[in-house]
Amino acid sequence: MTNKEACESPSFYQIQVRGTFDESWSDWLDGFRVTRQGDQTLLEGQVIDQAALLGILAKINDLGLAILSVMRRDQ
Amino acid sequence: MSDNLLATKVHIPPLHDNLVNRIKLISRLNEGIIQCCRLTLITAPAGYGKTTLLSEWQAQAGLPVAWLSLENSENTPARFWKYFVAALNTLAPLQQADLGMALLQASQSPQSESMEVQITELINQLSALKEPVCLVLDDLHTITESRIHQDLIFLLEHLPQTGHNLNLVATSRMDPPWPLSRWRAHGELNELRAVDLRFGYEETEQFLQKALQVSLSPQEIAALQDRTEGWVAGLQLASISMQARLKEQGPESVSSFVKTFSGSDRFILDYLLDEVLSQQSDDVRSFLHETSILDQLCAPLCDAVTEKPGSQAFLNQLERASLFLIPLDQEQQWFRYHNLFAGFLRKQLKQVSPELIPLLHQRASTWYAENHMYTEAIRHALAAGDIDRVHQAVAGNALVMVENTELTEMLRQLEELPGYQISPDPWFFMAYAWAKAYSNPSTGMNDLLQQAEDVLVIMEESTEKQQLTCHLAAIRAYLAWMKGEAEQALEFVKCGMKCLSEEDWPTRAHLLNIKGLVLQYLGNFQGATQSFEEALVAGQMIGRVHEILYTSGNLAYALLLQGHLREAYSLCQSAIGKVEEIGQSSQQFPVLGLAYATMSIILLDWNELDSAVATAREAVALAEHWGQTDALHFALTCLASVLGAAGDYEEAFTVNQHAMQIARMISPWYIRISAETEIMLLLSKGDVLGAANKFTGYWLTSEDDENHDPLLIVISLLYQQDHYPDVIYSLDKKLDDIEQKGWNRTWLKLLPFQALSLQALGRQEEALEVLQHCLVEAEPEGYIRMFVERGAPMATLLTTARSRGINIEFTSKLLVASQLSEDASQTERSTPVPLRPITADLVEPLSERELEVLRLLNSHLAVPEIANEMLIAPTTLRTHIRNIYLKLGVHRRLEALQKARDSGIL
Repeated sequence: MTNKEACESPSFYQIQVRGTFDESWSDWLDGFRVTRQGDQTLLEGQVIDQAALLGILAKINDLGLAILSVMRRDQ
Repeated sequence: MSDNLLATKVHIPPLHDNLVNRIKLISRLNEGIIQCCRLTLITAPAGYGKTTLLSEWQAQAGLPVAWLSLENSENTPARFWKYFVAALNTLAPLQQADLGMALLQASQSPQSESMEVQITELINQLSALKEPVCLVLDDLHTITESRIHQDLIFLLEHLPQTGHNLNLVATSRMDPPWPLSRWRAHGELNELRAVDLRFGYEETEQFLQKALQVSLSPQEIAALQDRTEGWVAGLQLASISMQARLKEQGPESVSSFVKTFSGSDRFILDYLLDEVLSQQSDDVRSFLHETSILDQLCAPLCDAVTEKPGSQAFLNQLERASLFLIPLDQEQQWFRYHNLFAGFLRKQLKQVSPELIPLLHQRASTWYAENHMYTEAIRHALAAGDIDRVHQAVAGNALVMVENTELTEMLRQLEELPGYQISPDPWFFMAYAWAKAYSNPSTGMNDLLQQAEDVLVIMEESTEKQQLTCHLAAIRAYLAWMKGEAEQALEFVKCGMKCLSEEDWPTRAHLLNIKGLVLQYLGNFQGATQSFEEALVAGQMIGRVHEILYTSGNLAYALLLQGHLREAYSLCQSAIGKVEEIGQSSQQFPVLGLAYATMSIILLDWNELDSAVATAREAVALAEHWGQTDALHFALTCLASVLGAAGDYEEAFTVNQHAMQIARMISPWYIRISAETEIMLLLSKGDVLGAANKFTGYWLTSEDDENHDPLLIVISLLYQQDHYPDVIYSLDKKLDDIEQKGWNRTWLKLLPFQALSLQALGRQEEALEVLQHCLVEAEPEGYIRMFVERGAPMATLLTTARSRGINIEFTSKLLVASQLSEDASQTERSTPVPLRPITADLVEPLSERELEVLRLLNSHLAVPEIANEMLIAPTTLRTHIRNIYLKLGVHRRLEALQKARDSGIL
């Protein structure tokens, strides 16, 4: 994948955070799906580019949640 | 931005109910200052008490502390450095120093070298101080513009190793893109991170004790510390809940809260916000829910949205209880909810009463429309999915909408609405027609205008019908102008003016602008200037920013064409300043692209190539945002020209091709402009044959146009093909005519060709005479490029001129510029041209009125603005100015001011 693709094409991401919270935050997190996994939460969704991904990460940071992993998934 | 808002930004946040003294952290901060660290950096997510810590620290820091609260709106270098300097100037030791004024000016121009020079100057100014000072940059993460970061790194890296006077302290939610690890390795970085900021056991105990005024058991304290992980915001929320319980249910309830809270594994924010909300009365809760759809709140708006009076009391109550309400102005009229809290409220609203949401948006839309905030009105109407309401809002405010919104975006949003069709409302029609004329005039325009006419025909006679007729005439005039149909355009303007009502200032300004553009097209630059000046007065009558900016851009270009570079430049600057003054970003007024485009051409004439390119890029970005085709074409043409001058031909041709594509959508006249730009690019690249071929091909196929004589191209072509006698012959014939028409810039740019052709033919004395003439005219306005671009022959002629003592100062300057340009296509930032000393005494003293004019001339105001200030017509003002110049024996504003200062009048 070229750098341009990575930065400018929509991609599907999984973000794992420590702590639990529910689906109702999905809207606030730009529609990311929220799934609880034990004492962690998995957030999954599409971002249009890298700037949008950073925006999501900043929001998670603002919620005071620790980010455990961020992974790009090919669909 | 108003002084009020500026004051809040450089104001140190007061320390509200400080519950915990963070002695350890404070001494770590002090140590860093004593050890003279390069930077003190506090990074942690929201809610860790970064700002509170610094606010506590500064009160006992032992050195003067300045404060700058950053926001996204400071994300441009000009704005950032403006506040940076404003913050430093709040410090007592610096107030006399007139610190950083040059820095401010440099930040207006996008050239980084000049910033570095000014930052070095700032460091020097600071080292002259007797005592060190500190500047806090709060919320640095809001700054994402890389140029600002580059300049800050430059500043930090160039602070003297020991004993520097400026201590920078920054807070941020993430690490800034600075060489932190290097500084860390050298022990130059003093940092506090989330782990340091977390409350430990003792701090938690102290906090809870003071907040609740009751003692909790060590286990309870430990449980709360553990559950919140020492996160200050979490503890604060918990204490709000516990306070409420204490009041209503007594001390027992606190223990039970701690137990359930620490036992729950729910997301801490969810849990606590829920808690806080459930403790509010039903009234407050529904108020919070219903107003959560608003991005900003004021009492009347909340009254309208909740359909209940008394919102002011709610807002006051929330403010007092520190419930996530953030004041947006000092008068405390506008607020917003803390982002996270707003998100939480909206999420709940969606769960509790989803059916209410469109209704709430409708109410908000109505209120905004009634209060003339149309963009917001439309935004809420769109959110409510209410097409009729969008139509109404658009129809009621046709022009405002077209001006303030991104046109293409507006059309797209409208067309995307389900079941969309053009509203039969004539005002909606007019807005639609304007938007289309601006953004996509090539298709369907005639049908649309015909339909509009049909609607008008069946309307009964009324003022409204008159207004609509004016608009229709203005649209037709605008379209005719773009096609180069000048006569018709003027005819439409006349029609429009005829049915214009006395107080319809926006439409008057519009028509006058179009008239000015047509006159400019016809080569009548003075007439154009007058028309734009009248338009400016009309725009100022109603204080409409868009009209003022649009007209300023047009007027500046007309002044540029007449050779008044400095006046044009300061007009552009004041237009840009105006937007900053009202605290808006230029994105909200994309019409500013016109001013930026004109500025780029002036910078090019001054040979400030880097700034010119950056400014032209800004112009293109804004014009693209606006979506107005002629503005975009203008900006692209400017960018192509400056890129060519900077030697980047590849991009220059690409940009010009883009301009050509747009030109094809507009008219043959626009195509001609793009073709000419291409020929000029070829010529400046040295491809004379290519240019000649293009020119012949294009000239044979295009229609004759008496309004348009491509003299500069013809002369350049002849000159570069060594046809010197032809150059001299043509110019002898035409120069006087051009000068008389007042095309001063073109006239001046032609003189070097004549001088060099004379030199090439060995007619040295005549060549020098023409050159001298040219130098005398060029010097006051600072033209440099037109000499530099003529390369070696010009350098030879200039050297001769200098050896003869002709304008030694200016010729030397030009030679240096030529040399620099030769050396590494490197550019020189021209310093303001030094003024010639004027020593003659005043023949006649200035009158009171003239003195008043002179004092206003000694400001950043442009002539039309001064006229407005003095409540006189621009023509009257010009008479005053002429008299002043006459009495002072000068020809230009700057000369007049210098002379006035020299003779002690100012």
